[in-house]
Amino acid sequence: MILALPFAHLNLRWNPFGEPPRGERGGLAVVDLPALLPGDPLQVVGPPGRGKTTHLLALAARHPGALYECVPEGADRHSGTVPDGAVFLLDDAQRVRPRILRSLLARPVALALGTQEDLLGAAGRPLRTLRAGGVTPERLGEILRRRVEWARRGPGPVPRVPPEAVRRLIERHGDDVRAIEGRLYDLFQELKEPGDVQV
Amino acid sequence: MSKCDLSIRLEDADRVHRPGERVRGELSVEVNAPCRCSALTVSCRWRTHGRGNRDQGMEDPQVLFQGELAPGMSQRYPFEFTVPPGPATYHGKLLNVDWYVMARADIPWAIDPKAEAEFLVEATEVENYDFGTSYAPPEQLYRSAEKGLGCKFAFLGVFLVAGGLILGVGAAAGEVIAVIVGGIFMSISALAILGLFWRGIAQRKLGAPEVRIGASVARPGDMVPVSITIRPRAALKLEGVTAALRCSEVVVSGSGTNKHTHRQVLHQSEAAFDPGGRELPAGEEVVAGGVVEIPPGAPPTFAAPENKLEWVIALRIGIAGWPDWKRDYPVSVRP
Repeated sequence: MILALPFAHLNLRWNPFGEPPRGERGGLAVVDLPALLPGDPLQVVGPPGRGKTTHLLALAARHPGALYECVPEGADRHSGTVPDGAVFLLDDAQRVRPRILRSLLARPVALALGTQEDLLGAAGRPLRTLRAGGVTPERLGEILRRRVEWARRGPGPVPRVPPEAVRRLIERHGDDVRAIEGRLYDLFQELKEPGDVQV
Repeated sequence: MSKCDLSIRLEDADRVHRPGERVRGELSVEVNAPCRCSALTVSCRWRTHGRGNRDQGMEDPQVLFQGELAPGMSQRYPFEFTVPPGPATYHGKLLNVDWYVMARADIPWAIDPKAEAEFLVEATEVENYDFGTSYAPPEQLYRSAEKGLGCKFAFLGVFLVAGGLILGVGAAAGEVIAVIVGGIFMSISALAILGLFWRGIAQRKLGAPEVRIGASVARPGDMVPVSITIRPRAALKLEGVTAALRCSEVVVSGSGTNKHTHRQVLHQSEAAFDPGGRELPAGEEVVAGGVVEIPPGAPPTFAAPENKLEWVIALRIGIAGWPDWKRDYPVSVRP
């Protein structure tokens, strides 16, 4: 096997549509972020693949020192202790027991919840709600461009996802950005040189 | 703008290194604003990239500088590392393993400036090859698989008994919900236990086949002898004995509800150890065997928490009118 630096033929360092490290996902997000204030909790609601985690990680990038936790499968509570005044971002919050959720909501923390189900009922109090999902061709184009730039190796041409390919991806996958990234991962694995990507 | 900019230049950046060789280079620091640097470090470590979450190896940082940095200052610090004994650079479909020299300036109360440069490590024969942070020798995996089966039975047994208790108490108290919950518990655990029995049912007819894998660690091009001794408990018609060699990349992406396991088979070959098509009387010993060839150029086994490249010898004994007996035996492929 002949070894060469990975993706050097595309002027990239890795496949841009592979899984980015959690610490870098916030910086790659193209989202309109709401303000996060103690006593005014926010829930980001949406089905899988629509950007709930991306919103939370973007909030983490905006608030250095913010605590991010994802409630694992089978668990019904968050594991860490949350100090007063902290910015706490709790993902998969639909798994948390209503009693624990209510006690968390009563704390003086700036709280954002990522959830697949609307938690208004379980919260027993008003929640600001942000519906994740829905993507315009312009926004998707920017998401994809940022991902390619993130993987850039050096100056010069890199692969580009042209507007017509962006439109076709939305036609095929709707607003499921994760499915779009999966499709592009496979396409980038096969690319031979920089240029416009055909979908 | 960061307080300082770091860049790394490696000598012979395109050269493919072998374990034990030296990687040499220079770290340049251009200072933009006055700051105190608690530690300017370089380290050398592997990291995965691709479809799965990233894993990385341990690092042993070298401190090149500590102290005050003044604007306009431009410094160069030479460094060198010995290339560790694996894992080798690997570029696959879902998984890539690459080596990096990473530099970092630890500046209090500021975002730490960083830089990194890749280098290539060839898969070459070394004594203590490192397969990755989650590597367990194949023999250990066989043992934990057997232990795991016992645990599953015990766990399901507890659920079955608990379901029975809830159902019994509920029925005695006339509580419909308790009867339904107990019934659901019992049905699910009974079905799961039946499933485990079904998988092991072939063994009830076959007895416990005795499997010998000649080498649990092999190199590309090696022939691994494999034999299966069967002594059936009851008469049966043997449909055949096969051994398949399979290499797969298995990576995990995301977390929570976004967690997905992706699998890509890179190699699959099958050898027939016994064509079958004959009756075996109870108690008659049959030995089927052959060799499984590890293909030349086979990538080495790699094991990290979220990313694996695994080689498995999959054995199958076909029995007419009965479920097949199947077992997977991991083998480690090393350079």
